[in-house]
Amino acid sequence: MTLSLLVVQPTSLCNFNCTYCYVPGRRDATRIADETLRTLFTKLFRSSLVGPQVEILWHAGEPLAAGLPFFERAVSIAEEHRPSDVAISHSVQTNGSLVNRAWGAFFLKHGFGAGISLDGPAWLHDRARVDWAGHGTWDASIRGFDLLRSMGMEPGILCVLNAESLRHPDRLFRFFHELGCRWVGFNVEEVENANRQSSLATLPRDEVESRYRRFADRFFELWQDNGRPFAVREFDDVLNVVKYTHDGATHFRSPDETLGLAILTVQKNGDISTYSPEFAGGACPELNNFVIGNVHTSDFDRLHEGDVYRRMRAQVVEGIRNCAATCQWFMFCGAAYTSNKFFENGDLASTETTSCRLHRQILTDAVLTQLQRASTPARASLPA
Amino acid sequence: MAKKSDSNRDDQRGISAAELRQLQTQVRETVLQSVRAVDPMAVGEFKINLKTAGNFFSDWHDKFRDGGGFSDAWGKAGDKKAQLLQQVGPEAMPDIVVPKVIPDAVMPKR
Repeated sequence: MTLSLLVVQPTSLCNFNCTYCYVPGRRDATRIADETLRTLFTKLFRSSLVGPQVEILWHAGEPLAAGLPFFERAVSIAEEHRPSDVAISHSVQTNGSLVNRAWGAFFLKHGFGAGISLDGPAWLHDRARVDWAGHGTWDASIRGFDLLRSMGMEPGILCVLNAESLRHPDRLFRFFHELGCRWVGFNVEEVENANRQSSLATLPRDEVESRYRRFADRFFELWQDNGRPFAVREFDDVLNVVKYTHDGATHFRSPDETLGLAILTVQKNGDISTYSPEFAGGACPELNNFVIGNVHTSDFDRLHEGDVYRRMRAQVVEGIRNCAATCQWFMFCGAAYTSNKFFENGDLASTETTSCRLHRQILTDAVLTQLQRASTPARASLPA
Repeated sequence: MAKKSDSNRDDQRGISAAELRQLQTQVRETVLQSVRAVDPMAVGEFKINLKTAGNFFSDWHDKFRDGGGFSDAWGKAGDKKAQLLQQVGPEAMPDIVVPKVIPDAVMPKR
């Protein structure tokens, strides 16, 4: 077993109240204790789970709400316990609103990657990404993005697609193009953990699917015909599989969310979960709320022996097998949406979810269709 | 290197790649035809963030994918990038980000 990603939730606190957020406890200002971090890194780095490289993602909640002094201590603790032959890559997923020059300097000093959650132009972003008073947050997020860029960082952007934004591929493309960002990843608004409702669920399934297809077709068309000005994660995912297949490999994606103990998520109380980080804090009494251990009491080398982990693993494996046996797009997906299966279908062994139907099946079809068009000289132009 | 071997992947997934390939043969012919219909030359024009040992990163979807971000700018991993470059060559690490020098004026006061 090799750990790929360690997700640490330093606090579930968030200064935003986005309508679709899946993280519970976002008004709880408690923070992970230094002692918990020290125990985490001491035990983890002594365990056989750690390979030559470990990616540490600080996530929650708004991780920067834990404060810069906390992060300075946390990075120092990690570094103190890191074996000399292990490389760490830190990254943070933030709403950007708390970023200032001191944060930027800290990120640069420690080689942090930063992802900013930004749902497009203000009139789209502010529909869902609001603060606790219900006010839009675009100004605060874009200020953080601009500041990091002015200091030499290249933050990536995560953009959640909802029922409204799917109607505006041109406006979204133009926004990201003019922003000059280098990397965009799309997520679809999901029913997950603390988020019980998605705007996509308010529309008939046919309408959602046709809206998504039009979005994917048009966004790819604009992206391709305007010189592919930034990386789009979802397009890269499809292109990777196409390239491997053309090279003669019988390739299928094998996402970290489907690999036991490839992702470990540590909550502020030290509880450990695996597979999808969205499981952290989720309710499922039959599986101990997805908690497979605790930093203070568990031996990382024995996590795989625990009853909860073994039962989760059996169900996840059955789900992968079911996906492979029934879905023609499996090679492009690999049964990636582990937590969505549970939160949408109530069953880790189930197959289809909204995310996979839109973000894998329809997207793949759209990209393959557009690739067949890619060699033609026709060029779309940016909307006026 | 953190590249996962097939056997390690099989172990972590709990189901072998061979079994998955076998299961897939029943269902994927239609989409395979679509893939084969794509002109490889057209694909070759795209800059693909190909996932290789040199640009290792987790693919969980709620994070910024920062392949190549393993920094040599700090700490005891100082020679990691040089080692990786030596092993895989710069072409396998197209997106490596070298942190820029920070002017003193923006450094936090201590």
